[in-house]
Amino acid sequence: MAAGADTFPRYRLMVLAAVMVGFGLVLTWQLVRWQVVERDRFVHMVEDRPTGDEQRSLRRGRILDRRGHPLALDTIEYQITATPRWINRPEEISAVASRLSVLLDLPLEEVTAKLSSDAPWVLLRHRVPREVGEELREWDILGVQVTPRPRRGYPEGTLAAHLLGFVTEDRQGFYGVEGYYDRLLAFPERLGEKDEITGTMTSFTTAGALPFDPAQIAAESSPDLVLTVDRMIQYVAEEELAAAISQHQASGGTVIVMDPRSGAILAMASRMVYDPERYDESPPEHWSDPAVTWDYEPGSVFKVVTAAAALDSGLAQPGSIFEDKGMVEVGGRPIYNWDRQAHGEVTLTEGVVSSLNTVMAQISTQLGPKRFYAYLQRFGFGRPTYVDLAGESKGQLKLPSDAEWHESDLGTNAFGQGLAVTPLQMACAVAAIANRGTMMVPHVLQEIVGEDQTWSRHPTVAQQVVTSEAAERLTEVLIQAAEKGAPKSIVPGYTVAGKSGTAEIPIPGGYDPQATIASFVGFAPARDPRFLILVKVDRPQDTPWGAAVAAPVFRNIAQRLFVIMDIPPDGE
Amino acid sequence: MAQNGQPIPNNTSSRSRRLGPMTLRGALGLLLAILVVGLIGWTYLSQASAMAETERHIAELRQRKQDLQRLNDQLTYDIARLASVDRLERQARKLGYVPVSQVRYLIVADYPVRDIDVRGGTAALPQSGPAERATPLAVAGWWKAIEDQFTGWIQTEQP
Repeated sequence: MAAGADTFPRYRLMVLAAVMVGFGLVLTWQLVRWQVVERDRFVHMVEDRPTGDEQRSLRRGRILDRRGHPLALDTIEYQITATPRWINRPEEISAVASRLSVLLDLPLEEVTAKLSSDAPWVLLRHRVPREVGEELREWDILGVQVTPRPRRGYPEGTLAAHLLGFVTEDRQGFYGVEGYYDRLLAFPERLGEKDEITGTMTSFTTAGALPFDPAQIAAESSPDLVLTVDRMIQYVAEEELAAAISQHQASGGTVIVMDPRSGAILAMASRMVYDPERYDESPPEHWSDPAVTWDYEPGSVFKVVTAAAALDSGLAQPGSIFEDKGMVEVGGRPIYNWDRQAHGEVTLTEGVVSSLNTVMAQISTQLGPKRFYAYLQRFGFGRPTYVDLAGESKGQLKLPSDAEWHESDLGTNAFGQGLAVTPLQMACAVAAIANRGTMMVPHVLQEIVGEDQTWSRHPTVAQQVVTSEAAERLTEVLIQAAEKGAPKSIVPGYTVAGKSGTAEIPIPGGYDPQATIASFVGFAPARDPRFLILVKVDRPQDTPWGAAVAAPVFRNIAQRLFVIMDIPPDGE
Repeated sequence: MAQNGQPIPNNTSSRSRRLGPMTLRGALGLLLAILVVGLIGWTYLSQASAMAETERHIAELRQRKQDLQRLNDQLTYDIARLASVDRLERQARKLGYVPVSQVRYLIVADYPVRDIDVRGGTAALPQSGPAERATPLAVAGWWKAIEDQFTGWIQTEQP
């Protein structure tokens, strides 16, 4: 017994000590394991877990015009929800419901029913304006939650709506810049789509468009985009287009203003327009940008391309004589002039000035399909321009190798029939002439502004489509075409080069006898161009002619651009 | 036990002696173990607590930054709305302004200054457009010419 009495405390102590030492060892081992052995795993766990940056990434980058004026940026709206169990007394429900129904513009019965429900959470209003949300926040009602949500705002209203595109409620950009640069503007929230993003960026850079490395931009959080667009020029373009549409009761139209030397888009306006902040109130057919998405038969403005091919190939000079008998047959199809007249012997210049279809058909047939279509492809028809806007169409160009091509297309294509182009394709083709034969890649992005870095985009040459000599000779022809063929395009004191067009609208079985598309494309000052303007007016009701409908719009815009861009006169 | 003639304290002392060194060692070991474990635990817990506190502070700052950024965006939006071209035009028209239709340019020969060709020492007319004429380069060239003339005058031998 005595021995047992002696050893018991010792045994107990040893057990206790062993337990504690064991506990200490386990604790120590765990610490060593967490801090040393498995350190990396825990570091990754910490790095990968939500930190609050996800909310920050909801902010979408801003879109600014070339002078830094915001065209699109995030603003706030509020979502109003309630927790009914926190508002459980009938008199309390009644008081809160009556206040909310007035502020949220909801029927009192609906609010009362929602607040009385057994649901743990009810949605009262999905989106309310900032003023309402802020007032509700000040009320600070227990059980009513006011949650801020980012909303895309367009402070200039409908200005440049087609060019900008819009952002849906789930923060997805569609159409225009918002659509094209969606992954860039909203990058961090889609880190999971890294591979897809890199792929898209690669396709952008393949098109020679973006001034950065995808890996570099991956580190940026929602950078701002500065566009080449000038809001003042955009406003002028939209105002003049709207005035022309109203004056001629037209169904729509497009104006593109670009710098032919760099390919920078200064303005791009189309009608019918929609409000990008309320895009869902407009029919979806209004959302796409007609300047890059809709193609049309260009008509006589396309004669610029045919004349360029003639001059560049050496087939003709501005003074070369062509016999106009009033009709020429190509592939069994008779081709007439717009006035159904024969003009006898005319020069190439006169053919362009008087817009003679027969002369153009003679040029294309003399060039032959191989050379003629090679020029058309060189000018960028039948393929996208690779402008950095979503939803670009490549137009329709039938080639001799295509089954649906007919020999008569060689004749009709020469004066802009039987093919379809987008307004931007047409503008780029004429811009190449203005830029001494060098075609530039059209673009709207000027620079990307990150938190610490700015990437500037430099003009990209698409290709030399004709020689500079041919382009200069054609410019002189186009100066006469503007002066004599479309005198309403002329701005006193300035030289203008341009060509008008009156295109028929194809319908099943032929052409619409009632409707035309009136257009004019020109640049100024002609010998040192600072801008190019394409004007297209759809289905004017009072007069069908491009020289009467579109040329004055060109003049009005050009006149204002000379002032805005501070361009001194260069002519008489 | 007292009847055996053995004093109780001795017996007790003997037990204490037998247990004493072990109790002392055990107690010391136990104390040391408790101290070590306590120290390690305290270090770990204080570190974890400090980290959690810092993280919470960072999260608060991030939230604050986000709120401020949102507010800033909102103000930028409001300013941009008020300064939109459409609104500015309406305001300008209200004040009686009208759009400029035609600008008359006055051509002034040699305006604004003659560019001085420093190396050649001859005056050259500007070849660039009006926006490019009064460039810092032209002003710098003019200053350099004066500087050169002054240096030349200083270095000229006096009669």
